[in-house]
Amino acid sequence: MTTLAALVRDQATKRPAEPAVVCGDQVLSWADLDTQVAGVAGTLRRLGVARGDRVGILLYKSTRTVVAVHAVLRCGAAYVPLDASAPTSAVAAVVDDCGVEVVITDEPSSRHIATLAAQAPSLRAVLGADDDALGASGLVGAGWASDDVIDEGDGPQVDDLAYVMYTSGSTGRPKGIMHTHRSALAYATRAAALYGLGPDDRLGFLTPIHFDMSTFELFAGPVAGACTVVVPEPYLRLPASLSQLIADQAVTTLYGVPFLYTQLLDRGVLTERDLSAVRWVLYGGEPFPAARLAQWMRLLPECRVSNVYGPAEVNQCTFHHLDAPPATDAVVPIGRCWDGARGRVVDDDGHDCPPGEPGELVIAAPTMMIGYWNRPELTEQSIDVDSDGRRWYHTGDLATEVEPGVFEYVGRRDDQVKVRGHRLELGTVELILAAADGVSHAVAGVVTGAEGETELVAVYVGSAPADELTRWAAERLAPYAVPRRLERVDDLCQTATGKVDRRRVRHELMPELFTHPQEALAR
Amino acid sequence: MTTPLADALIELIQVEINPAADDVGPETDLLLTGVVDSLGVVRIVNWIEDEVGVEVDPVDVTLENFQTVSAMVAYVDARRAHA
Repeated sequence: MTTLAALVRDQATKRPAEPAVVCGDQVLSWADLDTQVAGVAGTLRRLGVARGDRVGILLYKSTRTVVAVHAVLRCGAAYVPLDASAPTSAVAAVVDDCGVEVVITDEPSSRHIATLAAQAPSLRAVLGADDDALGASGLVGAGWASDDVIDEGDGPQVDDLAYVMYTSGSTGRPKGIMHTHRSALAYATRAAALYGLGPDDRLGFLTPIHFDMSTFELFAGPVAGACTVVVPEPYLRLPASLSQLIADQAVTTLYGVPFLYTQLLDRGVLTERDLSAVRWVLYGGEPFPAARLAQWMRLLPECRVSNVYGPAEVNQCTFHHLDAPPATDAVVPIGRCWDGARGRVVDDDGHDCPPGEPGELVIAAPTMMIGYWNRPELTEQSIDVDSDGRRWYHTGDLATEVEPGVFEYVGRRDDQVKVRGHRLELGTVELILAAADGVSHAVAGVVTGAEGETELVAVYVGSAPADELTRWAAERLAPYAVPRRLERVDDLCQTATGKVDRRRVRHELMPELFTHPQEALAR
Repeated sequence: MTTPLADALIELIQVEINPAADDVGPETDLLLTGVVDSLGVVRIVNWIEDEVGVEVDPVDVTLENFQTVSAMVAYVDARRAHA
């Protein structure tokens, strides 16, 4: 069986001159990409990276992001995506947990590299940072441009780790989801087949690489020989520029979170743009408010739209193709399991729920992770092995089986939430807030606006001013995990046993306190 | 050197939009690092319309005009010159 490391090389043989990666004016052909991957992989080897190592990637998005991912894989190492916009302490926690010794970065992304080195002792070498950024950190440096070429003698095997992707854990400690070449390739080949990707496709690469959706463009693109159109972060914040990029680059396929598509609807001036090249829009990460989805589908009547579902632990595993715009109050199913995957809805004792009864969705799939990095107990809690040796992942998502093999998403079992497609544990946010000076209790929650948009908010008891508490949180949490609004309250309602009644705070107090920013803006 | 408009925009960003942001200057890239997110851009646009009295065409809310405070000032100046 082949590995992810062979994908770019194979395409460079088949179609060397065709475009592989595009970012603005920059175009890399498959041959260019292959050469750059071999060069960076060679430099990583020179820095001592060996098969089985984990290499961090701290990069805002550009063609280099794609080069870096494939270079790490070619070394037989696993890449660990790091969020370049997150506070240094959050990045350091991942580097430290995963034992990352080498990080790939570049000048715009490496502002905090010296601070990172001080906080993460395992780090010893950096590729791509300039000398100023390295400072007196004592790190070994290397550049992007070099004459290195990798000797591919010791490439990866199919069951080697390919990447470790971190997500917030309920205890505040991040957990690393481990995927092998086998599970990643199982996903990439199925995705390429299901969405009919081919060399004529141009995939709009929307999500950052620390977000699991990114493996669609990173791997399904090279499986199919499709070109990846990199969308740099600033475009995600300016829908009018994003729609221009999609039109100018003749993007054919998009995979993103509903929030991004509603932003495009509201501010993307779509009627001014020629989006006729777009043939398939995939969304996932959270439900798409039906009225907005219908609006989107009416605007692009020729374009196929699919709801896809799958926690990062299993990549994608179900899909639902929409034939027509949904009715305003419709629930769009997450659909059926795809080729080779199986889903069941089970009760607390692990027994199958009757059709229509909500229970936890458990999934068995070849696209599933092998476990969490260095967390055997957590892996064991999350995965059951049945008598046939089949591994079932407990998603924590509540679902119902609405017709045989077709699932509908209902909600979460625990306090994990999705905010604009980012998955986070409310408990983690609360731990950080409550650790600030002058805060005795904090409850985080999500409020939903009139059109179904979600916003992370928090209330707290204590003397700390809200702006100081926001700053405190921003220094410790990824940007999406910082509550957008914080309200100080005198007291929080309690349960009969004297604990803060989080349920009531979230369901009664928060909707009352927080009008949606969209509505506030409209005033 | 900054203009009063640039100072007011910086204050808006640091006080209203992202209290966690520090060191925002006229040339700071606001969008790459997420100092300002998509809803923040909307608030800036509304502020320019309400407080400065310059109408912002949605087609103009682009990277060229909104990536930095300087770009926003140049955009507002150009719109005023046109009015």
